[in-house]
Amino acid sequence: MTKEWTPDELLEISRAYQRTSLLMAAAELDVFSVLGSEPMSADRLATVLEADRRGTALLADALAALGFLEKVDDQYSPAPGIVEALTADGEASILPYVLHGAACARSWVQLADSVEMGGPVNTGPGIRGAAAEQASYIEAMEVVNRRWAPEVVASLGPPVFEHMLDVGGGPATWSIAFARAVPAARITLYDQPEVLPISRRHVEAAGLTDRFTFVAGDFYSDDALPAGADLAWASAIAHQSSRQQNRDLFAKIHAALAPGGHIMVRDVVMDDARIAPPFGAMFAVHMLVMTEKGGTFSLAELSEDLEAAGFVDVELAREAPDMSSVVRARKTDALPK
Amino acid sequence: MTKEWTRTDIRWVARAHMPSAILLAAAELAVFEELAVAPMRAPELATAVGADPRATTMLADALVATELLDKNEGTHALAPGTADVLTAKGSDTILPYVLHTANTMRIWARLAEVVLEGGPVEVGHSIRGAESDREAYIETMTVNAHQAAEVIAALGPLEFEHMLDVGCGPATWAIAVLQAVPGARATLYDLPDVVAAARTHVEAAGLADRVTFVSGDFMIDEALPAGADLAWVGAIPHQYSRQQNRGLFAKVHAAMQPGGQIVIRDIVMNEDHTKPFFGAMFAILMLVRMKTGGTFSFEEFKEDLALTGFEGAELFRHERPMDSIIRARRIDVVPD
Repeated sequence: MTKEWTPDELLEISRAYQRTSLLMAAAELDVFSVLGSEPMSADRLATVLEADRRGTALLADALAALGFLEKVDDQYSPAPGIVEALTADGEASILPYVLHGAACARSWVQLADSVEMGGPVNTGPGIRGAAAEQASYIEAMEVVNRRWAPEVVASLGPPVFEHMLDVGGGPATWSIAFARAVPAARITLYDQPEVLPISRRHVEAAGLTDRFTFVAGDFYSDDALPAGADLAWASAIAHQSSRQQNRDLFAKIHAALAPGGHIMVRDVVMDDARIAPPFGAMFAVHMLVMTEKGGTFSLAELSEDLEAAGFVDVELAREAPDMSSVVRARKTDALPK
Repeated sequence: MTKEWTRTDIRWVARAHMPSAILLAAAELAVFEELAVAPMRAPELATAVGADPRATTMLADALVATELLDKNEGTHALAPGTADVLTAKGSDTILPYVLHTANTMRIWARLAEVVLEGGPVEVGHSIRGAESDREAYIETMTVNAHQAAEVIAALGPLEFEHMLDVGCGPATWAIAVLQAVPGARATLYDLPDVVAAARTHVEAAGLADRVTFVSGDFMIDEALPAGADLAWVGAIPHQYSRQQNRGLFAKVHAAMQPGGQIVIRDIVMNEDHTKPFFGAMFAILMLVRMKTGGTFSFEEFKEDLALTGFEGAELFRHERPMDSIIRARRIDVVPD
C-alpha cells in the first residue's frame, strides 16, 4: 500500500537533519562527557570546550529543546541515558557510531552534487581530523555488530573450519564471534596497517590473542592474500566496490583458500528490482556519497561474480533485511574457461 | 518529564538526516518536477535532470525506500500527496522552503566547527547556482496576505495615525495593517532595493497615496524617519544581539511621537530558551548563517524595551512561532 503524504510530513522530513546535526556536533565537541562530569552553565561549557560563547549557548539550548540535555537554572546536564550511550567511557557507548556518522553526514549533505557528478564530493575532515575520523569508522563497525555477531554466526549452522581468513577484519568483531564458536580454530585477520592496532586491542580484550595472526595489507592492491585458510569471511566489503573489483577480490580469495574451502560474503543482498530491503536502497546512496564505485548487489549479481572467480554451489546461507545476509560458496580447484 | 534515551533512540536521530538528504537532493535536481510530468525509468530520469545514470538510479530507489516515489515494473512515479507540495506550481507548494533548507543543511553539517569558531561558515552555492539559492531564500520570507491579516486582527483594534515599518521587506505586513486601519498612513523604510520592491507591492494593493517610502539602513542611520505613533518591527530582533536590539529600540523611541506604541513581530521563547521547538532550531539557523542573532524570551524583550523607554509590554502568542507579537507603549522619559 502506498503512503499518502501530507504537507506537514514532508516539511518534517525536510528538516529532520537538524536533529542529526545537533547530536553530531555535540558528540564531536564532546559536550556530553564534559557535562557528565558536572553540570555547568553555557559560559563555563564554552570555556572548557575552548569554543565560541554565543555558539555554545545556542547549541546547549537547542540540545535541551531536543531533550539531550536538561536545563535547570542555567545549568546544563545530560538527560538520562545519554552519558551511558554518548561518552567514550560510557557503558554501552555508541559514540564511535555517532562520530563516524558526523563524518558521513558531511558527504550526505552534498547528495545533489554526488548524483549530478556520479561520485563522492571531497568535503575534508571535521574538527577532529582525518586520523580520528578513520579510527571512529573502524570502532563504529564494532558498535554496529558486537551485539548481533554471535547470533548471526550461530544462525549459519555449526561452522566447520580450522583456519579462517577475515578479509578486511576491522575491529575483529566477527573473527572473535567465530573464534568463540569454534574453540579449536585459528584466525588470520587481514586489514590495513593503521587498522590492525584496533583489531589487536579487541582480540586482546577478548583473551584470544594466541589464536590470531594479524597480517597487514590492502586487498585491492596486494597480489595475493594470506594463504592456507579453509574459510574466508568477507564481511561488508563487497558494497564498497564495483562488480569488477569484487570479481578480482573473489579471485584472490579463491587463490588463497585451501582446496575445498568456503567463502562467506556478508552484506546487504538486494532483490532484483533493487528496492528491497529498504535498508539496502538507502545504503546504496551511502556508498554513492562515500565511495567511488560501491553499491549494493542482488543474489544473482553476487552469484555471477563468485562463479566468475571459480566458486561453485553458491547459496544464500542467511537472508536478512539488513547488512547480515550471508552468501556462501565453495572453492573448486579449476577456474572455468 | 525527562526522556530516558536508549541506544535505539539515539541511532534513530543519528540517521534522521538521510531521508532529509534524499528528499532535498531530489528537490534540488528537479526529480519531482520531472516525474510530475510523466512517470519514467531511472535512465530517462537521469537524462531529464541532467545527472549521472548510476547515481540517479540509486537516488530513485532510495526515494522508493523512503516512500516518496513508487516503482512499478522499473518505472518511477510520484507518491500520492507529493506533487501538490514538492513542485513549483503545486497548490500547496513548500518547494522554496525545501530548496532553501537544502542550502542550510550543508552548513548545519559543519555545526561543530561553527560552535568552536563562532559562526558562520561559507559552504558555497548549490547545484542550482547562487542566484537560484537567493531566490529560494527570498521566497521563504513571503507571507501570504491572509495570514498577516489574521495575525493583525488578533491584536484587537489598532489606534494610530502614522505607522513606521522598520525594515519593511516586501510590505506584506504594512499593507495588511493599512487595510485594517483605513484612516492611517505609513512610512516604509528599508534598504534601497527592498524599498523598490515594496513600492511595487503597495501600488498593486492600491495604497500608494497613503504611503511614504524612505531608503536607509536602520543599523547604520543615526535617526529613523520621524513622527510615527506606531512603529512596526517585524522579524528583525532575531538577526541581532540584545545590545544591537537595544540600540535599534532606542532609535525607534527617538523617532516616535509621545504616547506611541512599538509592535514587534518575532519568535518569542520561553524563559529558558528551549520552547517553542521551532525557535530553538531557528536560533541554530542564526548561528550557522549569521555573525549575530538568536532568539529571545519575553523577559529579555521586556527588559530591552524597558531600558529604551517602552513599558507595559504585552505578548500575543501565535501558533506560527515567527508571528508572535509583543506590543509596548512609549514613555517620554528614558531610564538611565
